This record gives sequence, C-alpha cells and structure tokens, in this order.
Amino acid sequence: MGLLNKSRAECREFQMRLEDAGSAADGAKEFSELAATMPGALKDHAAACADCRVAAENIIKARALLSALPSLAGMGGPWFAPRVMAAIAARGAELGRAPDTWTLLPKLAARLTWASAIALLLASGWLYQRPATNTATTKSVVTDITGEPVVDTATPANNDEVLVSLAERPR
Amino acid sequence: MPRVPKVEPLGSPGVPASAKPPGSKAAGAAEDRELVRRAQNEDQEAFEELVRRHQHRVFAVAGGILRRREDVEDIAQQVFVKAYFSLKRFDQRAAFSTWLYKITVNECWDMLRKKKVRPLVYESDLSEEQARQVITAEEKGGGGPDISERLVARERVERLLDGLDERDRLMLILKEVEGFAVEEIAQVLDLNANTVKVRLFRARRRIVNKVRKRGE
Repeated sequence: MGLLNKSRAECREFQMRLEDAGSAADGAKEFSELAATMPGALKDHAAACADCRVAAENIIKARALLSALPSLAGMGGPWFAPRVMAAIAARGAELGRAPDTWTLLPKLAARLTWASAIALLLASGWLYQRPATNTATTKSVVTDITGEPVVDTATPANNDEVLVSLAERPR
Repeated sequence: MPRVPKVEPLGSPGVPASAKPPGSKAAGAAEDRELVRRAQNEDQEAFEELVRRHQHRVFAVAGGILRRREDVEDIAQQVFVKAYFSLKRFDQRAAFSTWLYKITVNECWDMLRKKKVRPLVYESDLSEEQARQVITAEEKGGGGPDISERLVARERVERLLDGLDERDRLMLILKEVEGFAVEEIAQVLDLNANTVKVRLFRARRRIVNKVRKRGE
C-alpha cells in the first residue's frame, strides 16, 4: 500500500515537472530527451511507469501537432505603436469635445425615461385623489306662460355655444 | 516633454518568451514601472514605448483567443487605447504586463460574446489567395512542406482545438505556440501555476486521444 502511495506521489511529481522539463527540453522528440532533464529518482520512476511515459509522449505529440499553427506574436511591428497613438489622439479629441444635445440625449435617455415615468405617476395620482369640484353650471331658465323656455340666460362659454344655442332656438 | 530612453523590447517579433535572455525579466519590470509612472504624468512617448515593448505579447494572447488576424489587430489596438485612458487608475501593485494581459483577455472574450461566433478560423474560411498570403508572410520562402499540406495540417489542429474548453485552448496555444511560461499563463488567466499545469496536461491528453481515435 505504502509502495503504491509512493508511486502515485512520484507520478504526480513527475507529471508536474514535465511542464518545466517540456520548456527546458524545447524540441525534444523522444521520451528519453524529456526525461533527461529530470532528477535521477524521477528518471528511474519514469522508466518503470507506463502512465508517466504516456504523459511525456503526450507532450511531445501535442507539441508536434501544435507546431502547425503559426505564432501571431509577430503580427505587430513598427507600424503598430504610431497607429495606437493616433487612435488615442482621436479618442482624446472625441472625449474633449463639448457634448451637444444630440450626443447627450442617448446618454440621458434612461434618466429621462425614469423622470417621465415618475412625473406621470404623480400626476395621475393627483388627478385621481383631488377633491371633486362641482363643474355643473346652474342655468337660470326664463319660461313663458306655458312653461316653455324662452331664453337661456346662461352665459355662453364661447362662440360655439352661442351658435349652437341660436341654431336650437325655435324659429 | 522629457525624452524616454529607448529600451529593448521584451519580445521581438516572432521570438517566443523562452528565447528571452535570462535576467531580463526583473530589469524589464523596473523599466516598465518607470515608463508607466511617466505615462501617468501624460508623457505620450513613454506610453508609446510601452506599446512597443508589449505589443507582441498582446498579439500573442489575443491571437490565442481569437485566431482571426483582423480581429487580433483591432483588439490589440483597443487594448492599448483602453490601457492609456485607464492608466491613471493603475496603482502598479501588479506588473504592467499582467494588467495589460487581463485587459486583453477581457476584451477578447467581450468581443466573442458580442459576435457570438466561434473563435477559431479555419483555412477553408479563407480564400486561396488569402491563405497563400498568410503562409508566405510567415514562411518568407522557408523550405518547409508544401503550402497545401501546411494548410491541411493547420486546419486539422484548429479543429482538434475546437473541441477544447476556451481556456484550455488558450493555455495550449500560449504554451506551445507562443512560448509563454506556465507562470505567465497563470498570470494571464488569473490561475494558480499548478492548476495551469494540470489543465495543460489534461488538454494535451484530450487532443492526443482524439488523434488516436481518428487513427491519424
């Protein structure tokens, strides 16, 4: 049991060290080249452990596969820094410009929406709760002997009412 | 405006991190701190120097996530513009490079979310002429295998990587293609170095098993 635990601990250590060994033995094409960068005890362990051999071979195979991909680190060049500085200058000018109404509007849209919603809520609450006022106007009606209305003495509110009352008057 | 002393870029075009001379890291970090301090005082030349020093690593990280050249260029520019306008808030508790890589990763993932597309580009997505340009730009007449063979190989690898988790794919590309150290990958992805090692180990096993299953 103790031997098994020792072996597992060695496997863990070997596999952790493989990463560093992988960097150190850049271009290693065989297990032995990778294992050569390990301390003696781990080298012996790797020789006897199938799992660790597979782990080391995976590093070599994966590296060979990934070598088909180009490095993009070389994409930059002397042209890049001036381009960045020009972009910074343009952005700085944009930020420094006094904001006009149309650029402010989208920025304030959310706040304006909230303010409008609150105002609408308050106004509708006030309209709903205000004391009811008597809007009906008492009209004094003069009647003739038969009791029929003769003249509507209620003061017309506007020209339309005058015209309506004239139109309704019996000829 | 004070002149900024020219310093050697950390990564020359196409030169992996592992090729950097030993001992350059600490000196580079100190120079970065000084350049950042100057850039925070609105010294544009200092910032331009920072761009020159870090552009290749930013391209590498963005390239690991996006793989589409035109996207990588746009994002790299966007990252530096964002860094410039946020620089005053950067307190230098972390290294400038770590901060910059985090901006890069976030910008890339934001872009992918917005575009809702798979990050990988296959050569079959490119026209023959575009693909030829890509290859010739990289090889510059090197005596490697035939162009069409390389295209097929590259497409095969892209498809293999397509089956991996986004982070695992990025780790593998940064480690095996761009030459990042495990510690650098851990910084980029905000993970523990041992976690990176374990995930790299599993990701490799997965792609190698896939290849075995296909009998390639």
